Amino acid sequence: MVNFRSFRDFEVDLDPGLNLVVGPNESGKSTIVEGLAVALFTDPAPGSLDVHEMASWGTTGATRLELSFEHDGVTYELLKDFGDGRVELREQTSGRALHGRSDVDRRISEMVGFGTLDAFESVAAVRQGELAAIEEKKRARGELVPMVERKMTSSSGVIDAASVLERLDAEISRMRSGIDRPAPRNPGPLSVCRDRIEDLEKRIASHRETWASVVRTMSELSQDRESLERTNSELARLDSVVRKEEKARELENKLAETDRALEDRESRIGKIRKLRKDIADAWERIGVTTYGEEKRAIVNAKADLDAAERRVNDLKESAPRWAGEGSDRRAAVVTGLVALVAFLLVLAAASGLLPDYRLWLLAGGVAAAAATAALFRRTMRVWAFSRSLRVANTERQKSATVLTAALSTLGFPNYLEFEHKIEDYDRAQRDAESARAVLTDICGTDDPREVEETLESQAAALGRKSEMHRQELAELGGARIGDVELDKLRTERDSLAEEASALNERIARREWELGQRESEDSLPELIARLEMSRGEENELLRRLRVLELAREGLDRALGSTKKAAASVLEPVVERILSRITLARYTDVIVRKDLGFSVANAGAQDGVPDKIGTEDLSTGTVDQLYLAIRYALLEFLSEHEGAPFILDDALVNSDPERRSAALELLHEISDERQVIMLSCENHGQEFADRVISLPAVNGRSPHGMVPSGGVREATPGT
Amino acid sequence: MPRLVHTADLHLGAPLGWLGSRAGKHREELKQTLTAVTDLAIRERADCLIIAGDLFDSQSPPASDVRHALKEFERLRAASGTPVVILPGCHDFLGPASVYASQRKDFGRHGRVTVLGLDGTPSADFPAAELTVRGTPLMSKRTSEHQLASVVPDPAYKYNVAVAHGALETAQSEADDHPIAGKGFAGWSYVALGHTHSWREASGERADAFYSGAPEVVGPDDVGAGHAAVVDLDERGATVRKERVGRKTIKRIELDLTGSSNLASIAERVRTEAPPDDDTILRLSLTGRLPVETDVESDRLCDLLRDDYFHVAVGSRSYELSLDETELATLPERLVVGRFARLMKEGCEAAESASDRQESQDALLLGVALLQGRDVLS
Repeated sequence: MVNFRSFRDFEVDLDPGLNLVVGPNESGKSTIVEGLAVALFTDPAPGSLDVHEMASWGTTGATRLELSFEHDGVTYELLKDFGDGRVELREQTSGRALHGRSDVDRRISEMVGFGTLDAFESVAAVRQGELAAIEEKKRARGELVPMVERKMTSSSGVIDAASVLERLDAEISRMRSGIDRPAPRNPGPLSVCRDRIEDLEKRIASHRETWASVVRTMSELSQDRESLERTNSELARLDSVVRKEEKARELENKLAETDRALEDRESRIGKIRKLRKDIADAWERIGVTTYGEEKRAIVNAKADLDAAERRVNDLKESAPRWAGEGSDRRAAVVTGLVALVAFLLVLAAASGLLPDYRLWLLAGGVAAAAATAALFRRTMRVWAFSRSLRVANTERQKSATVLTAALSTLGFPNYLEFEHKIEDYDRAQRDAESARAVLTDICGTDDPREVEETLESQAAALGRKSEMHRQELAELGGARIGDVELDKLRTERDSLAEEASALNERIARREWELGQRESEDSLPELIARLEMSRGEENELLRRLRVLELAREGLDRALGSTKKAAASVLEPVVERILSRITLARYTDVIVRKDLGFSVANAGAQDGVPDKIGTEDLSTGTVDQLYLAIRYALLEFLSEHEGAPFILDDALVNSDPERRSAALELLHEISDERQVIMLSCENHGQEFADRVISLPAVNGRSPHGMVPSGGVREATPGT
Repeated sequence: MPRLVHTADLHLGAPLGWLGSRAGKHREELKQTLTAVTDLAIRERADCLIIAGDLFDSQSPPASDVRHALKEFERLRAASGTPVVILPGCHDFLGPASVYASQRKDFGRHGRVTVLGLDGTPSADFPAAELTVRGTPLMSKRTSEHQLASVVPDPAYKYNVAVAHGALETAQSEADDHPIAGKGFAGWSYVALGHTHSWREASGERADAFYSGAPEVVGPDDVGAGHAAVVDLDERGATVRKERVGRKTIKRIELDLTGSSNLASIAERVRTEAPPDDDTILRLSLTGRLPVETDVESDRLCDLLRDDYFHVAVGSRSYELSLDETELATLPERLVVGRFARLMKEGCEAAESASDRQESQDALLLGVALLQGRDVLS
């Protein structure tokens, strides 16, 4: 072994008989067995095994294993180089060599009886603790049987065929649940699938049955669509007629309205124009003369004249008269009479005609004085009046002169003409103002020209609009039917619209119904699901057949293996047990189920007592166990193929048991090479070769112990 | 010179169960394919759109599919005034329960749609284009009557186009698969064929004849589907152009599993050979020899690839578990597993059919896995 585990370069010679490899823990005992197994069964091609893990610590060189062994009298040399992947199996005598991995594997498998490392380790090696487990459970009758079955089942040795059969049975039962018998609670997948298929088939059948009604609905839908199309077509025609008529009427109304507006505009324009002309005429009539100061002078002069004349007239009217009228006259008469009487009295008194003339004199005098005073005052008034009248006449004359002069400045011969002229002027002015007021009222603004322009523009637009309406009307051909007929058409149209709406609703409802059928139960979808379910059923049935095939095959394989095993195991175990127990147990019975029992040789009447494993002593059980393991090795690896290996298998055994086991191994070693690994030196007396391995300190390579056949090829490296 | 767009085998409303959970989506895509064909006819300003059978997958397709087809024909009429000629095929064959008969008014209402054979209509004639399209509708799912046997060209028209739905008669073709004899092509300007889902030329010496194939993948074997034919007719014959209208592509990959050890590496090899694509339908054929302990389950392989393609299926499994002498040696005969393997191998060899052999092989795989302690039943 070069660069393998803790060995850098290590070689060991083993005896064909019983080899005892002794050494403390970690000394490399197991490595020797592992090296043997790896050399036999592991592919050295790069990547097939973790070479770094396998290689010696602290070395970089490749692992190489060489195994020299003898089989059927021929010596072979096997080489596996994990560096370059080289494999070689050479016959020493003939020198013939095999190099192909598969060829070498096949040859090794033929010689050893195993094709894999797992199988080799499982069958050929008895591990530490296995005997102890048997001892602990020795009373459990079934323990040996599963062990044997596990060893016989597959190279992994982790499962026995019986439990595989149980699992297959359980799975088949689960798959079939509900198929052969009702499974109300937990139907199997096949049953579930078949139920689903049945349900889908029913739904598809029902779907197909309702297809007739679907077709009917579709046919009705089709008819409805046709009706709708017809109705819509008639509706469109009627609507077109009605709209045309309505349009014509609307156009006529618009035209009338436009014309009215145009007329209004034109009328207003006419009025404005007339008023403006009136104003212009008035101003023309008035002319540009306004007279100004002259007019005021005339007017003032006339006023002065009038005032003077009024004063003259007034004076004349109030002229005092001597013989006035009314009370004045009566007063004057009275006053004259009084003066006369007074005078006469005075005369009479003065003439003494009157008694007491003095009084009369006085009275006459007073009266005469009074009358005289009255006459004087009247005379004064007449004088004053005459004077005032003269002044007033003078004033009037002066004013008349001034007026005449003023009138002459303007060329009026007299005031009457002036007055006529002024009256004309005032009238014209009033006319103009009145026209302006009307204009302002009409226009709403002080600028009638602007209004007139606006109105003219509006009138032009209205004119165009009117013309357009006339043209449209002409194109339409005007309203052709009467209002009554139009109303009838409208009613008919509305009725058709209602009909179309009802049809639309019905179509929508039918489409919805069809849509529902599609969305809920689409036939293609159901068929697709049915196809999938049938595929699933086929797959499940196929899986069931596969399971049943596997179960049947395994049952047959297990039966024939057991039969073959029983026939091989029984004589081997019997032979070994008989020898080791000094013929105490001469008969070993291996039943069909691979249960073991032994028979006591001292049986009465030649009929051996059958003793179950549970009634045997611990040491005998160990021996029986090792005998069975050996027999299994014989069964699985005949012709001295693989060595029988015990890896610290007896470590927990008491001296008596160990001794019994060693005795047995010694017996076995006559037939097959035995390699026993142990921490202790017990049993050296049975060993054909003892190989002692020293303890290893740290990671240094092994040294050599000159006992047995071990040597370090390159000491110190 | 008349220009035709020729398609066939749309199979609207097909269940498509083989696509599993993708069936519903692909059924919708079939509708879109009809839209693509209509677009092509509009784009090409075709004088006629010919559907050579199996527009629908059954006599009674879902109403939504019928509505969609009618809507597309109406759109075609409005856009380019192109008339449509439909030949009932072997799936939507003509009969009292046929969608064409039950909805004849809907098809008739569209004016420009002619269903050949419906109410005795023998042909669709287009005098302006000097074109007549003739064919005999199928009246049953299978028949051994020869297509085109009773249809003859009309000399009054310059361009005579025959439409037929069936299998071109060969030594291998089935007798009742609506046979079409190549000799029946004589005298026709063009023969528009349907039934075969892949594009295929079937021209004889005296006439041009083509299978346009299905415009979209409908079945698991429709490798050459996805096209429509644009046909220009003139005095010399027909010039046929292949136009892509479908989206899906079927890719078949034969994978030799010899030397494969796990599913992930097999999936990676598949991805290398067929780059992941949402419009690819992958059909895998697994071949080769595998060690007996190899556990290749096609379902798990499909699961691994599911997100990379529209659909993945293992079409055929012809790989074998190798149990040569070397490998048998790894299963010693004296162990139960060895005996079992040999027994099952004998069963495989004695199997009469491929499926029996496959089952025995699967039983062998299952048993070996269980006997080696692998938990393959859970």
